[in-house]
Amino acid sequence: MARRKLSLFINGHGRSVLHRSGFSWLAFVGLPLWALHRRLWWALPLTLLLPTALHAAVNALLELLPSTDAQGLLAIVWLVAESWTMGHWANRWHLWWLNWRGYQLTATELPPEQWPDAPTLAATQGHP
Amino acid sequence: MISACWAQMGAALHTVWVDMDRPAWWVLPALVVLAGLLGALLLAPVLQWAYVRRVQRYMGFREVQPPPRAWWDRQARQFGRAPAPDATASAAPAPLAPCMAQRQARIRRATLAAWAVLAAGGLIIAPLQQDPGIWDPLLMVLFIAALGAQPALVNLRPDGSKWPLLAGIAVLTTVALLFEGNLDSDDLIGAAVLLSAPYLVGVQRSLRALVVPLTVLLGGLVLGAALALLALVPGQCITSGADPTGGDWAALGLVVAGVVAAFATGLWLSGRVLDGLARLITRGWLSDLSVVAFSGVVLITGLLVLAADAPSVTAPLQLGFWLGWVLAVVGTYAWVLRRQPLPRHGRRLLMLRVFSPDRRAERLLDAVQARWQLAGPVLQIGGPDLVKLNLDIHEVIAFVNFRLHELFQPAAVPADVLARSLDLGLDHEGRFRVNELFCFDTSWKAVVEQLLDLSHVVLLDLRGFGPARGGTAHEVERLADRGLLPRVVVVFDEHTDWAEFQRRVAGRGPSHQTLAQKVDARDRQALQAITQGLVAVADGPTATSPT
Repeated sequence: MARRKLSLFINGHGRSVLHRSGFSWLAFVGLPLWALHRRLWWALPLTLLLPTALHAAVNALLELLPSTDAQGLLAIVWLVAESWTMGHWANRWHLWWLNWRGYQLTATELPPEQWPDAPTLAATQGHP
Repeated sequence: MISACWAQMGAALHTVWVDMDRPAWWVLPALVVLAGLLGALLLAPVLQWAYVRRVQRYMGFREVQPPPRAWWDRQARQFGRAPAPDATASAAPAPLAPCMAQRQARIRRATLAAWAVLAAGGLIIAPLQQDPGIWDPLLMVLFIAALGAQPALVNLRPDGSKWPLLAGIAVLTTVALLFEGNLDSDDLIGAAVLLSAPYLVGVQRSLRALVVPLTVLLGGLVLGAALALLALVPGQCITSGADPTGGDWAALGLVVAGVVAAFATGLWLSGRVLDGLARLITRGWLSDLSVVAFSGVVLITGLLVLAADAPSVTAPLQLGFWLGWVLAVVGTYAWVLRRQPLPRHGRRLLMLRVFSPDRRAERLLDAVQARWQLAGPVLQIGGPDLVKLNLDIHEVIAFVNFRLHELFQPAAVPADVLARSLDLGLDHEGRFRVNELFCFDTSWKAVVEQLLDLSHVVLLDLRGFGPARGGTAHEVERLADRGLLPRVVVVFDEHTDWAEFQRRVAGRGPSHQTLAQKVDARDRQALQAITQGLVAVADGPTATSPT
């Protein structure tokens, strides 16, 4: 797995957020822990409710299966797949959210060829 | 089904509450403190490693675009103390040496008064021991005075050696143990804690910055674990048997979510506490040193109150006495400080340091830095070599709060904007702050030039300077270009390549400019010579108006 790259995003109000690219093992282990680590306080209840609701729904579906062996096997497959999905998408979703909220890439570990073509904050916010 | 479940949960909670030994509620905070200390010992090297690694990664960042003006305003609000006047901008400055002496005396008087109150608590705690003897109050006062000397000395002389003091406490504890009639393993463990705790909290240079944040963090984890135990209660509703029902799965989901939420709550609360502590430090109500000193007081008083074993001693009495004792010490310190005038004048020192593998040599600059905090703010660029050495409590707090990136300067800005984001005012104790500026790879050279413009006096470390030291050479050239060499006190050693220095400054800036003073780091009086040299420059005509 490629090394995660760190980037600093800043919005027009001067708030700075650190973004990590790539797979998130923290989200794989527990989505609420990932939200805590990213200081996404408002997302914390969502990250608690989402897995709980998903687990409840999947468990209800699994109970429809006649074989308990199949239930157990599918439960394990579901848990791994769900955790992997969380780990895969968490940081991507974070990047999307940062862009949507108007945060701009200010500094990064990324090589220059991977920098996005964004209008500079200096032009839009009046850099001194 | 649901009402039966509620009844089962209520019964389980009632059992926990009734069966819990009441003194255990009081022991929990003490356990949190001790767990924090033990955790600090075990986790500190790991935390240091992670911190250094993270800072080094940030230092490799490249600027994509400059941050908006709002970012600098926010930095000024968050890390600077906007309401406090810049004490280094006085038009008619007083001589610096008397100001330093007055501030030192003010802190000394307040520390001694607080130390006396701490020791006097022994008169109350001694009768709370089982079978107190007639001389026990006096012995207890002496013992607490010896223990309390540790945090007191941290506050008075942060650069001084504490080994003789630690040896004194060891001797005193050994004597106390020898006079103890019925010596058992508990006494030995208690003695070990009493000896190691002051070392961890006060003496060890880089560990002492970690103890308080780690204690709070681990306290949050312990609280989260306690809440997680409560979150297991809905598990009572899961029916035992081979075929779980939908309700069982729902209860299991609730338990899992509850446990995660409990841990998250504990961590969130510890993060809030650390945020509050960081804010107290940045607002000037506490300093890195006083946090360490007060945490020593909390620890010493907590251990002694916990050891009170008279039959009449109850948990609420212990808790009340502990809180009252700590508040009396802190209140005395603040009251004595407020009663004395505080001179506001100061001068900014820029320290241009280089890495030295010799720890004794590094201690010299540490000592200069600690002394200059009574004269004015210290400005320096945080390099990879300084990360471990200059680990300050607010940096650790920023790290464990996942906000370390906020300490970095992503780009160069005009000096006046940078000045507003610096902490140049006096804190309430009478010390100035060390402003360690962390820079990205693309910004450090420009920030150095801005700091040159902001500084009244410069200390340049040229130990080991030679052609390979590109960064130092850049700083030397910029100093010469600006004609600032008369403001510079240089520290050198036998490895300093003066020919290379002359080559770098030749033809730059005004002709015939010379260094203010050169100090040989091998000289036993080097610290005094450096301090006097810096004060002389700061009081002289060259330092009155930064460019």
